[in-house]
Amino acid sequence: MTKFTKLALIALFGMAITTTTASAADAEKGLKLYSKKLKEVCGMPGSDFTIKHTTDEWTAIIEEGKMEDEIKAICGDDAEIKEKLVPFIGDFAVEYSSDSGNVPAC
Amino acid sequence: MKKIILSTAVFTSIAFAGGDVIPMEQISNNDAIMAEIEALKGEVASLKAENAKKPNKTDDKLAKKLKAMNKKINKVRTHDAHDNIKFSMDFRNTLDNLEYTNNKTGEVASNNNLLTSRVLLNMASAPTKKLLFKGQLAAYSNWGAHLNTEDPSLKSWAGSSKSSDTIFRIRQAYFVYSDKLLDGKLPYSFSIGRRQATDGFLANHRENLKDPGSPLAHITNMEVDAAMFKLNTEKFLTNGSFMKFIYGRAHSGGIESIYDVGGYKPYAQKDGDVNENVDLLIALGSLYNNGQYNLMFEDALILNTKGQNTNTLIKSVDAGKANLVALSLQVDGVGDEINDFLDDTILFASAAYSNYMPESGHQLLGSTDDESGKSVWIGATFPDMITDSGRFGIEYNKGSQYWTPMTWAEDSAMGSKVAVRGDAYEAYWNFNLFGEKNLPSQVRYTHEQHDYTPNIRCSGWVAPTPVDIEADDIRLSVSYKY
Repeated sequence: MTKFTKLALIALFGMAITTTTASAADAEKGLKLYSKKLKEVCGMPGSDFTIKHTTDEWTAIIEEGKMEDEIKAICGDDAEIKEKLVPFIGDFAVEYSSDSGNVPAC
Repeated sequence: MKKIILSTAVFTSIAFAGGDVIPMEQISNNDAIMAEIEALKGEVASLKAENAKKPNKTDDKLAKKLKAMNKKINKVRTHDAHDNIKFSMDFRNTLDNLEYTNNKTGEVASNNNLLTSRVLLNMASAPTKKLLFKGQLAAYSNWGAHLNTEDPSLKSWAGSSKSSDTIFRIRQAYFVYSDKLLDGKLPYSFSIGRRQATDGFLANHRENLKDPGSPLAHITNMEVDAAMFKLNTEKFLTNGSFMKFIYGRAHSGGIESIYDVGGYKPYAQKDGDVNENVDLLIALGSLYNNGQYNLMFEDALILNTKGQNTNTLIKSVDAGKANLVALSLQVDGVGDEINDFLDDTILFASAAYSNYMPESGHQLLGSTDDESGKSVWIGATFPDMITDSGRFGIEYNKGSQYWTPMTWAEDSAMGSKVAVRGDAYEAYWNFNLFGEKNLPSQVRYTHEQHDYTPNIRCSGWVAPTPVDIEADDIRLSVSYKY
């Protein structure tokens, strides 16, 4: 490894460990959790679940603390997910809501 | 009268008791004021009662108008969100430290700082619920590159995937039409265009990509023009299962010239064993996917694959067929919520097989007989425990003498690691620079031990002979993505 590469590596490592505060939840994890925990019981792919509401509607549901109830309303009473994982589903729903314009993977 | 007498009596008592004396006129006025106040109170109370019975018509009207306006705004937002092309950017810069050692001859070749930049301009639009378009323009250049690279080995299947010049090329452009049959139980999709047949299943981890491309990276990594038909079979077969059927063209033969000098046959050629189309027939899909366990398969048949005519000795002629098969398993999360570390750990393993079958009078891979090759690929990625969302990854590949997948788009600057005829070891660290999710970065080290002639470009007539070549690549990359 040349000196140039070593220096670049050290600089990159230094910049890598300078981190911002972790976010509480994110859409990507929510997508994975939906696939693992809810897709089968909901009987629909994640994209069909998220377009049930607009961004504003999902945001209102989350802020009112009614996300768990809404999951059951859409997927049935058998749809259960641990409380600590609900925010991730909420982030996922907002990210791919009906008016988000985000195009799903195909 | 009684009130006046009473008031006068009160006045007199106060006066004899030595209290402050309020003038008679004021006492009379206070009584009147009190009486008025009482009367007003009564009026207000009755007005309130009346209002409580009747709804406020103005408030109602406003509320209705507001509701209608919100509905309209949401409709417009939904329409506009989809009625346009959305652009996104993936801009990657890399520094590769390359070294090759031929242990038999002692020759060493190196490039200590290959600097490249790659721009991927992504386009996506979904004008209706059933239709979407995806495109990608790419420019992938070496810093200080010559303009308009001319390398006969560089073809459209790798044009945007090998660093060369700054020309923007079409890397992807395809539409997908989706609908459902059998009362919605059988979703299907149809697509035509230049495909996302690079960075496929399992390769996305080492490329620091969230989602894999379509094919199995163990046997396919090349830019492909194709048509595709997909059936979502999970309601009839297993959980998460689907099948894709693809027809593609890897090489356009049969063309002597675009403007025919003979004057009558543009885009055609005379008969003969000269230059035919190389077509691909591919079936791939998921056999099972429950979000944690995903088992995928692919079977690719290459028609008219290029080899050598054993009579004329002309190379790069259509010489037979090749069949490539892969079975790949990914486990996303070990166990079920044992702990966060295991939940975020991904394990994968893949087995693949290639078989090249020359026609009579031709050779493929230096042989006039069918020659088969095998390969295994295992790996794991897990949280780095240093940064917020960083991950470490480790991978191992092994391939036999005749192992020849179609992976000529770049998976490593030193040639395809997946196609190694020997052993390959790799470790990488994916992280966000400064903790910014829009600056995904990577440090990656790859070591290849070639036991047979490396398969780094499409040259189906070259026999894989025993060699002892080591190749090392340390790559640092910083990307901007939004």
